[in-house]
Amino acid sequence: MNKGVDWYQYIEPYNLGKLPTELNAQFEAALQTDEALAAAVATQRTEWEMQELMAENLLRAQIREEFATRGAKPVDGLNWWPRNWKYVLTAMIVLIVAVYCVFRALEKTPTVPVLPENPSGESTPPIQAPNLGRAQAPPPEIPSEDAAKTRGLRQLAMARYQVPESLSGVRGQSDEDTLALATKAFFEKKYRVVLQLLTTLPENETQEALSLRAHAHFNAGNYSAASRDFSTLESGGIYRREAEWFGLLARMAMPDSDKKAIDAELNKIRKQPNHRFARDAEKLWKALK
Amino acid sequence: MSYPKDKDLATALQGSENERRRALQHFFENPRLLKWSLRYVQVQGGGEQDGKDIFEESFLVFERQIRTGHYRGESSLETFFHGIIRWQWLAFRRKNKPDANLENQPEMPSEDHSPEKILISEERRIILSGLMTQVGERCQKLIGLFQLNYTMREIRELQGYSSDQVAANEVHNCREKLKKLIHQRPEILEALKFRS
Repeated sequence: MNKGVDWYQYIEPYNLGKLPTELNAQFEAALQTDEALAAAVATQRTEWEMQELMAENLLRAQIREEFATRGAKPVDGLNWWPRNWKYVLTAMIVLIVAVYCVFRALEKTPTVPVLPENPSGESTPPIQAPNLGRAQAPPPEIPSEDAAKTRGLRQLAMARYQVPESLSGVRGQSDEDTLALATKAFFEKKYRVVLQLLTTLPENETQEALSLRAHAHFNAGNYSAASRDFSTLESGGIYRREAEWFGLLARMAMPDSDKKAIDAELNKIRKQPNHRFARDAEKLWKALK
Repeated sequence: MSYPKDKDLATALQGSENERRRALQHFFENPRLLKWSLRYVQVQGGGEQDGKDIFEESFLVFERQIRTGHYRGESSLETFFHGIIRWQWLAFRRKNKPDANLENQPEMPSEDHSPEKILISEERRIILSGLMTQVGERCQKLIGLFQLNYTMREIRELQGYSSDQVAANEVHNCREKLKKLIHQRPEILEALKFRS
């Protein structure tokens, strides 16, 4: 303890907490023994606090004046999200679903040319070009989205189509056998001949003959008939896998092909790793997508 | 008015009347000060008025920390002010919702080892406010200006005294009046003794 030290000079720094740690400890020790010093500290503290409260009042007045001058500006975006996120999320989901439905509906709806309305309700005969005695040419095909889609599918089917090797092994019981003749005609690309020969399928070689006829139909452009024959083969037999693939191509080439059904069929084939045409199906799937 | 350096803002807060006003306006205009404070309080569940109250109390503490030299520029003024806002918000919650499950009150943000020394507790404020009314409005203002380190020239201008000396005399008389009042009321000192 530093005896003879004038502790009164440290009252203000002590009350403001500005004494160094060691000196602060000594000052507090002095406070324990010196009642007059303790009273002086308490008085100075009270005086300082009173003065501070008065200073505070002036500052408070300035702050409140500033608030009043500027007005109570809303604090933008404060609790907006926490309060409203449920509504925003619901609205967004509804909007997304609505947009999705609209697109789906547009996708499904066939494009129908809109004819101008006749407000009078009278049937006005269309203006016809004078008949010059020539044979009237068929009206030009109006290109539509569906027609374009079908053409696209058909082109894809044709591009993927390859005459299977198995057909080259089709032999009749003799060179003069109907099946042998049909096979020969097939490889000579005489598809109508094939079809004529195989109008009735030979009893002993039904599967081979049906397969050949189906391919002949396909190459002749009779996709519906080809599809029918391949479908029969799909029900069983050694040509089942081939028929699934070529039947699919035939259905793709048909004018009224169902894209969803084709997708499903194609997906079924590509999902079977052991399917002979799985890789072809995968390529076609990618081409379609 | 913007303050590129923290030191400039701290200096302005202790400067002339105009400088102080502009410094206060800066707190209102800088989105990282008033706006930040209101947002913080609202996000924490307080209302707009709570935010304003917290801002007001925080500004008072902040100004005092700078004036008394408890802020030495070791952290940015904004960070320092944000710390005070957080501290004040917890104090506010503790006061208004004593049953709320609040984490322990953190230490008062300060660069000084004993910042609590410059805080005036609620109990002491109540006791002292009774004494303040006896000082009179004029003296309250003069002592307040003196405490905020206004110069005698500024006090003369603000109060319309004829000279700086007259202003100094008036301030001196008011401070003497305050001291006298404190000495005349030993029971107040006694009441304050156990209320830190």
